[in-house]
Amino acid sequence: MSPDAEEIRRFLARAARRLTWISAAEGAAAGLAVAMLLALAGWPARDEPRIAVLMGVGCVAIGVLIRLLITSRRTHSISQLVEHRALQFRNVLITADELLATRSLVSAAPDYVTSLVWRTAARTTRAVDVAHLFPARRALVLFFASAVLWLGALTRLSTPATASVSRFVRGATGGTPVFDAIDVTIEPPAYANRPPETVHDAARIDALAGSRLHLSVRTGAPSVSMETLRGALPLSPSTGGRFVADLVADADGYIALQLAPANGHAGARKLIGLTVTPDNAPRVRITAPAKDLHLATGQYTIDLAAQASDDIGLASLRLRYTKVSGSGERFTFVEGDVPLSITRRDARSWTAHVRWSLDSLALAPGDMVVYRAVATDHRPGAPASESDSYIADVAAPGGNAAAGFALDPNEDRYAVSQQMVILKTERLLANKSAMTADAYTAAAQDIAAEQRKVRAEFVFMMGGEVADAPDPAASMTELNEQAEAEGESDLAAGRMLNRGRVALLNAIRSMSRASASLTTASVAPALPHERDALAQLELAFSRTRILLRALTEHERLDLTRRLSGSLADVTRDERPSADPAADPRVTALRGALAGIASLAGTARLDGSASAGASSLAERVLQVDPSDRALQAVAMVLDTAAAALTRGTASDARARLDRAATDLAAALRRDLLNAPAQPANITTNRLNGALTDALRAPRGSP
Amino acid sequence: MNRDAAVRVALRSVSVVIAVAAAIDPAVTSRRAAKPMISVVLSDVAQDSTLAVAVRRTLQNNFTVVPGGFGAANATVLVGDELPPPASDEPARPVFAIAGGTPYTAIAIEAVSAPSLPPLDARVPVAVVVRAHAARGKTVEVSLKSGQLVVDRISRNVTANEQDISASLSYLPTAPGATPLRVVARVAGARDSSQADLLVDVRDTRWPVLFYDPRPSWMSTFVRRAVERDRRFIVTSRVVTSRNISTDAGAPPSRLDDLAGLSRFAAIIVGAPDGLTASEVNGLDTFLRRRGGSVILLLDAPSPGPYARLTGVTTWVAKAENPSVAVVPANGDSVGLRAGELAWPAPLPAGAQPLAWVHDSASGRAIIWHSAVGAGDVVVSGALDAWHYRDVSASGFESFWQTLIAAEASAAPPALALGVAASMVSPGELTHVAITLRDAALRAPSAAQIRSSASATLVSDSARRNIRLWPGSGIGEFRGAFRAPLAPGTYRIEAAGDGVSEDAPLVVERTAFRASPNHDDLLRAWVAARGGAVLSASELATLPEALMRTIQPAGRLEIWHPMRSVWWLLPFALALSAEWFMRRRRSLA
Repeated sequence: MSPDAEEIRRFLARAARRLTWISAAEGAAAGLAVAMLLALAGWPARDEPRIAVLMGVGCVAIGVLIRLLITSRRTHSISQLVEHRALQFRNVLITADELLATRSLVSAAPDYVTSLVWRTAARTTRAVDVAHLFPARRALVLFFASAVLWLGALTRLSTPATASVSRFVRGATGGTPVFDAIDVTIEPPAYANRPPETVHDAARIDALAGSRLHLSVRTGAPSVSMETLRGALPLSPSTGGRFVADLVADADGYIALQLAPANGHAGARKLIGLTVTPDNAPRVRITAPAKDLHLATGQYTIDLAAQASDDIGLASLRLRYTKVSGSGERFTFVEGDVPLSITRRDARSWTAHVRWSLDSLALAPGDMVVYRAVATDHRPGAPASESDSYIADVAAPGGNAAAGFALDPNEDRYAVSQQMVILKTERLLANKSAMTADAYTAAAQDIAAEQRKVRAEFVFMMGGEVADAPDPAASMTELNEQAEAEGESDLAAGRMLNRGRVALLNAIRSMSRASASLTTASVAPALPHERDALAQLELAFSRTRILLRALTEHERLDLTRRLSGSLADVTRDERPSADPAADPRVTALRGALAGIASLAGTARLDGSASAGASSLAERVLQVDPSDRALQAVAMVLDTAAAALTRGTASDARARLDRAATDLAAALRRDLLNAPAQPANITTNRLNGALTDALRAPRGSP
Repeated sequence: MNRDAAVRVALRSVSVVIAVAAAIDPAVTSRRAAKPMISVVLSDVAQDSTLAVAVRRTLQNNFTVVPGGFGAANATVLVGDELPPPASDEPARPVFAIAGGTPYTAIAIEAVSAPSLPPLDARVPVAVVVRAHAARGKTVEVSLKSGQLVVDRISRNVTANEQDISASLSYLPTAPGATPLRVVARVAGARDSSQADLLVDVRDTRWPVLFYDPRPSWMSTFVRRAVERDRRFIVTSRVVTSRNISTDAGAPPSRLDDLAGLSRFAAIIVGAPDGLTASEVNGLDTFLRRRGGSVILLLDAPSPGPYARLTGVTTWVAKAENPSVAVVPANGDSVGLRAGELAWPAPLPAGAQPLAWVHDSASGRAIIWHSAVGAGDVVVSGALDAWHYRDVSASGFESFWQTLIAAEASAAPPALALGVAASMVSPGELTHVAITLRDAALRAPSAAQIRSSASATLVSDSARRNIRLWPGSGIGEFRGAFRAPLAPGTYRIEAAGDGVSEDAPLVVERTAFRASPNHDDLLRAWVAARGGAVLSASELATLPEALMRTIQPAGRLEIWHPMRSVWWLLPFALALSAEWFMRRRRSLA
């Protein structure tokens, strides 16, 4: 291709490119104009500026596309367009373009003609400026003008919405103090290892239990107060017209922000629902063998597998065991850990396994080992979660394991015997220095409860319930021999074959003293009483080993000691009729429903009713902050309050309707249907007469 | 005697004869045709007045038209598409109806019903029946409004061109008092809507019930505890634990055979009814018949006893089910019981209706059923061990018994029952009231003479207006009708009689909307039962003929006095005048 031809081709390409982007600018301008018109027409809604921006971009894209499609037809004949605007070409550019486009023409025409055409056309193109041929000024002006107008419409979209809700209008206009911005930074507890999150103007906040909430309110009002389920407190003023406060999210509730009144106008009120997600305890279970094992010998290896999971993250997974050896009241308990091989699928889900050889425990016949998996998460102070406990026992010659060791996992893991009470008391004394006073007292009271259980078992075994046992307060140290001697029936029943009964009574009294001491966290004084009780038990059952819950049956109850007395003393038992209290939830929700009805019945629904709607939302949340249905009702009421502030009464009324129907639906669950309209006396009497007639023997009236 | 003289004598004789006959005034008995008397009654004063005028015009030539009900008329013409109000008097027969025709609308509320006296601690079910015309594929929205507020709403899809849609809405009362409600039905996307008003008079009343156990019963104990937790009841109880020894709550009556002591209770729940004595059963029977109350028998075992006289059961069937089975309410309610030990009568006594049953593969066994005894109601429960399964996760034990006992207690008539035909009326609308005095209505058959009196007053803030009452069709029943006040507002109707009183609200609204039921079939049957027929407005011209054909007015013997007609003066005067004229012409006078 000759240089002249190349020059002509470049010229034409340059012209086509210019024409294309001019068309694109025109299309964009048209798209922006359409977007502006839509925005002015109120679509999208005022409080959705992001959608408005997206819509503008979409309109521009569509406009450009359409315009380019139209232009593409014209650019096919770019040489004609140029010729049309630059007459000096005298059709030579068209000819040159055809020669460039059609090779057959070039070969058909004489060379000198082709050279002449290209040379002439090239010379002419050098004298022509494409920018002059296709001026872009008009297109650019249109584009920028449309852009400015669209931005203006966009500003109008966002600014008034913000202003109606959040701009503080001062005295000149006499407006209500409102919120400019409400930012809440949710800082999860450190152990959760989650980043802080900031939400703006949120209607509801979801936070992990223990999270710290940092509120920052920007407003022109002189002060801001905050109300939660725990009470009200003011926000501290900060820089930039902001007020700040911190609180800890520990339970479902709400945050009600109230602006101080100004210029005789009540301040706006904003309700933010608070949902607190608790940090659940880890879940742990033994997946293999996941059953009790009865072993012939203590030389055994258990293939053990366990799984643990947590909603945030696991901290540890262990296998704990308790070896129980001995018999009767001479049990020995040894606790320990088994190292596990842990596979961490992720921070929240672990599996573990171990081939646990029981050889090291030196289990003798009749011994047993109770084991369970224990998992913890990172929450400080959180108790460890335990799996179900399983037993591996080595069969004793001629006997089976006491069934009492396989208790409900929600109850104590194994039967509580007096020996166990002593062991726990000793451990508590040993750990006293590492425990807080409250924890120590609580642990002592737990042991006291166990001590009472043991005591109750023995009291019951003796033919009476706990109340029938000798009163430890009245006769803690002395045994009333005379009273005991009157228990001839007991002797006759064979319950005092030897002096065991006296020993048993002494044991019960020792247990009572121990329990009394433990209840007041006097652990050290309790221990001698516990040991004395054990000694008395051993004396009483020297030939009959007793392990609680391993007893196959209780002794027969002495019925003569129950509900006995003189018939002459029996009187009619009279009490007043039951008067059930009103359900406070129903009462509160009913009051809220009445409040909504009262608000909806207001003649003028305007901004002054906004506080009422917000207050109702607060009342609803106060009933049960964790109830999802009530949370939804509160949110609808809050949006109704916002609608009232904006002055859109019809919108507010629709939202009040929805709040009422939703609240009624929540309340409906707590009430039964009223009976249907009963029939009148005449109908009832006719029914009765008909029944009488149907049942009367034939022939009778 | 010439001819002239003879004529004069004849004229004079005629005059004398007329005078003498008039003086004698003879009575004549003869068979004569009389003009029938037709009573024209409007079923809806507001809507049918124009048609009524046309009916009167059509009839007035051939009949004597009496506006309003008149029992002595020869026939009644009912104008309108509805039946006359229930409280109105029985019309004279035969009855013809002139139906105006229901105007065409896309949607119409045909029926709205709700308990008129619901307790505060309950939800008020509002049953609505809507008829949609040519709305197939569309959605019907029914909403319930209290004042300005929508309190419940429901949507239903229309699947046929002409479809009746039942919707169940509910209102939750927030305070005692009369509450006007409005049901609005509309087809989504259409402009047509239909409205109906209703009034509920929420009361903070509690039903007094008595639990009586002739011996301790687990079933009765747990039912009693369920009812004691419900604020809608005042529970009085007696559990007889030994001879002359009992555990009482409240102040139970000293004996079950003392009607005066029992009449303050609306319902009596008896545990272990096989322990009742014959005397106690007599007392319960009297309570059922004279008080109209309800007795609920909670069986521990299908043992025989004097109580069988109340149930009418001759043979019981008992069966232990393992595992336990669901005892499902017969009304389709989802809240039922579970039981493992069941007892049911075989067969169900005459007149008994099942309340809850166990569905077998072939048929159902009525485990809980009821039967009328006099004006009262006996409920028998054969779910012997339902109390075992009272946990909420196992059954609706508590809700079931609370609902059932509430229904039975509310069905017991009050000492004075005041019924108002329409509690929401337009200004000036004719309204009917009915009063029933229970003790008089349910008197013992042996009572020789009953004397009852009642009065009713329409009360507003500033005035009281007596309502005239008339004795009703039964003893102790009174009826009255009055025009609603012209001023809109809330009024109360106070009724009193035999030492007791009752009141009911009346709301006057400028535009009170009513359900427009399609009573065509009912109206046709009602009219046919009274020897007439339903004619459309376009057939009005044929009404006189139809009436004549049906009435067939026959001639009747009547005693009449021919000489009392004033027309006798004319021949008498003419005869005397002619005779005088003839004598004058002859110069004789």
